[in-house]
Amino acid sequence: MKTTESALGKSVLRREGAAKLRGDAQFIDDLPRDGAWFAGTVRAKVPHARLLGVRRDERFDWDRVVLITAADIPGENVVPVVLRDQPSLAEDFIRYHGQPVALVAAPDQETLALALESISVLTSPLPPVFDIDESLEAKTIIFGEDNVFRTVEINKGDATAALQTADVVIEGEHHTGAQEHAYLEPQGMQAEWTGDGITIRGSMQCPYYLVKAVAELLDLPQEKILVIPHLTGGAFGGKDDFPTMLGGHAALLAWKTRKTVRLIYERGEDMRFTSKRHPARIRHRTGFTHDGQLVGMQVEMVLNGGAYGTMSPLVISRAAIHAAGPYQCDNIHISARVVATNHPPSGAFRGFGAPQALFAVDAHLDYCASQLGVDPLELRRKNLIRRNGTQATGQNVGDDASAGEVLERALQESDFVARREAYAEFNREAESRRGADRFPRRGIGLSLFMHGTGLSGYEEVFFHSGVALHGNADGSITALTSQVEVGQGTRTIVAQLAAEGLGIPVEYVLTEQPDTNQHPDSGPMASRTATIIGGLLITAGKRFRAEVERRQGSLLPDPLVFRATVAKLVAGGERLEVREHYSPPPEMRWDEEKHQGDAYPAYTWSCCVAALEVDTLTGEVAVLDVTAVQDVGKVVNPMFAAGQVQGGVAQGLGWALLENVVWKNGVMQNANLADYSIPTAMDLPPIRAVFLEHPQHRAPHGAKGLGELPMEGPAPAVVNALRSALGIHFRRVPVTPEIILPAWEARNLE
Amino acid sequence: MPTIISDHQVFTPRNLAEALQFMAQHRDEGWRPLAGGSEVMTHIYDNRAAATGWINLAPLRDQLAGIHEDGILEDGIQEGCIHEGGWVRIGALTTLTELRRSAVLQTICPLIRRAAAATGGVQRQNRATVGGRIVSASPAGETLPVWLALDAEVELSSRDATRCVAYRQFIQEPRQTAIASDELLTAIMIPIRARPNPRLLFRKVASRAAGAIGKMVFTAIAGLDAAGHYQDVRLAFGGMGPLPLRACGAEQLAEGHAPSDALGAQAANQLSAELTPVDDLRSTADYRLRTARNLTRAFVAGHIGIAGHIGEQPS
Repeated sequence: MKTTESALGKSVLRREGAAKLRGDAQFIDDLPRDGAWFAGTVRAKVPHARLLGVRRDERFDWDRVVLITAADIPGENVVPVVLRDQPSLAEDFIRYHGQPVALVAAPDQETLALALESISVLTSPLPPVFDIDESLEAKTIIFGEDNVFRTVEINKGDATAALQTADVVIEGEHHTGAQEHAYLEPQGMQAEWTGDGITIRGSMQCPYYLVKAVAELLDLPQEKILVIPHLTGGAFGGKDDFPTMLGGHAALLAWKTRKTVRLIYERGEDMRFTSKRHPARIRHRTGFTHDGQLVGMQVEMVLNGGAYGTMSPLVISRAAIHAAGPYQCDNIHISARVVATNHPPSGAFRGFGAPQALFAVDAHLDYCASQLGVDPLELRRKNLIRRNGTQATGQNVGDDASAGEVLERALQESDFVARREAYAEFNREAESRRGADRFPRRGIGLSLFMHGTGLSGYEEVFFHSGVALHGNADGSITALTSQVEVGQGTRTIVAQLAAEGLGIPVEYVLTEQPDTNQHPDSGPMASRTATIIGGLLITAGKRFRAEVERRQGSLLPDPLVFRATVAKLVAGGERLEVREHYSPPPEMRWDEEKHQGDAYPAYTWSCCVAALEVDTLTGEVAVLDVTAVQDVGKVVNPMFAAGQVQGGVAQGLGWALLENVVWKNGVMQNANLADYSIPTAMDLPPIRAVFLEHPQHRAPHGAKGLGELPMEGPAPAVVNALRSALGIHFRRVPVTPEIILPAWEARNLE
Repeated sequence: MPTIISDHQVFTPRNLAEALQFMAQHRDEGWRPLAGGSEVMTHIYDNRAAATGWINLAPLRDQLAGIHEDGILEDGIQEGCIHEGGWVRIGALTTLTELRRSAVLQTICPLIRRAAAATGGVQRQNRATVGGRIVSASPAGETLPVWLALDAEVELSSRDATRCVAYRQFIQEPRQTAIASDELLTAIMIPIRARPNPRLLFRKVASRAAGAIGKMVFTAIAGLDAAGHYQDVRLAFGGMGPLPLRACGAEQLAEGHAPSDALGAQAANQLSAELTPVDDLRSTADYRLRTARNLTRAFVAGHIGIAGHIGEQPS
């Protein structure tokens, strides 16, 4: 008798991979026209103003198109994300350059272009606010009473007293820039009027957000709204909250025209007017004993949220929870605010606030080591969180404490200590060489960090994620989740995890792109598919098997027999379906107001090492290699896991070194992929991913989150490596040659 | 709304004569030649390409692509045939990939190959042509400072005449050239000049390794005479002003002196008076000038650059 070999830990091929490779995969803009109308957006051309109205050029025949302004919205004019401050179409005020004021649908592209040229937005300008300090001064109010979307404070012990009595207090201020998601496929939606409701297809991560948003916007019951996420060409968080606005726009036009309407952004429009990573300013005051024992940390962090709240209240929470890094300190005060400015709204982006916080703390700690005269490795060994250590929120990590192990493993894998010494020697001798070897300097640096698994605090409870398994007539089993395939391999992983619970071959499990009628809401974001949803799938699979065996009256270890039994039961008219919903482990406690308690069920711990060479003639940086070690609990699919790390490291290196959003009057000036540089394959070094697998006990298979973590390591590792190469501490990413070269030349003049 | 080439009028001649005839008949009507399209297509997409229509030069490749040295086809070239006073003729429709792979250029002037390899990415190199890059005259064009440093001449053909113009005179205004509306750029001519102990440098400084417009481009050529003194120094820049340019003051300063760190520093200091870089989306005036000074100093001091007689293989 055969039994099934576990598919967990196997590099099962992507289910949609072959179609993508062949070019057969159809994205939303590839769908046949079938009479769909084209749509465009009329945008404000000032960053901050009173909106007076729109003027239509009467030389254009407006009967040829459909035009919608805020006054035409039948329901509530709102993009509901966390706050309800953002209108779908501007009504009284313009809060950012590019804000949608009206929508146009036309039967063809030419008519649409003419219509868009024939309408202008009438405004009366107000003083704009672009940077964090201006926003905090609150001379011009954009949001609420003080421009602050949310403040999160975390207190542990007494940081003020600890800093007063510390032997040494070291301060540092770090800045991080905006970052463009640069997904391959720009934002796009198609909405279809179905007679009494709307069906929306498009590029998105979170179909359920859209159901609720469109129902409100059109004043229709939610059951009249069907959302079908289309094959999505990359997301990185950019298709988390933003599609709630875009899908609403497409739905409004479909409702008004009673037709199918397609609203697709060009790359430039997408880069200028959709969300970016929150820029941040983070100040640290850190107290140590003379020998480098951490005694107190004060962190004051401000994120630039742009014009509307979007995901900012959650982003700031995650940023605050990660602000002390993987370090044990008994006295911590974290103050984190996210403020409004007249930039396009910042939004969800891989890491969700944690990358900014983790960059600052680990770059600062490395800098502190240099000020204390302590080896940064020793400083970390002395202060990292160990077994039963506590996070800033007071969370006792118990056995989930791999910071020390990932550090030691990364040192070993990268030959860190020997290379650091060799590079120091290389740099010392540089000036004595003639020829081209005189100019490069080499350095190696690392970062130590962690990322919480799944959503923060109570959010998992609110989401109440669900999965379902459904038996089919041929004995196969369909796994229903709303984990959208956006390029990360979710469809394949869902099948692997369900098969693991069911004890059957992965080929017996069917997965499909979800829709909101068939699939339970399981919220695909926040590094949680493999762990939170995976746990539900495994539990559901076991229950499903038990149910089949109960009805059959015998154990069915042979997968062929199991499959035949499922087919027989379904043919006999029996309904085989198992649903499973998330409920938090009963021992987890969380105080949202004080941000105290068990913020996450588990943490993924990681150490990232970067070696680099700087050309001191130009300040250009060539990253030589990256080693990323992470304890992910359990690797579900090694090929995908390595891919997440390589892609995340690439995105992190881009954020660290290249990706510079050039703003002017609140508009991105370099809104194309030639002038906004993300790394190409030619810019990337060898990236080695090493996985440790210490299972977490709150998931049946032990997996922790991996999706966001890998992009968080490179920025602090690069800045720390730059100090090792040049003896200069850089406090800003992206750290471009325009920053590096003058700093190097100034240092050599001293 | 972006447009595509099929929205435009296109005339496709069968050969050079037909193309020149068409251009003579329709001069001043706003027709523009279309070669590889690596520049024009982006302008068409963004609606920045003002033209009545496009003259598709693809059928002229047989006549206008290829690299000849003194009239000998590349395939026929023998080692050691390079001689003082000759010319290399590069057809205007030669692609950058063909430049990159050319054994003749590798021997005569590897700078050209390096500049071609530094332009855009491989896909662009497969499409972009030598002539197209010259006529579109992008201030940051990678190959342009090389033509300047090599004293290249351009061959301009019309139905009624063919003329040759020095490249440095051909570029007069930013993004403009001295080409007449009925003329087609048919070739670029490189004079072969023997220098003793030549040293060469090509350096593009850009945000990333491929697919980026350069912040600045620097190319340098210099010989060293028997006494170890500089002879025939060329220092040429792109992206340091509205046009590619040579830093003649710094060149003269180095001429006749032996390489040294002090000479490098003097040449670098001279640049501030000669270069007029600006701040833009890609970089700053300050950074461009620092980089130009540093690379010039290191080259003139004799630290960077490659020996001129090269045996390396084209990539």
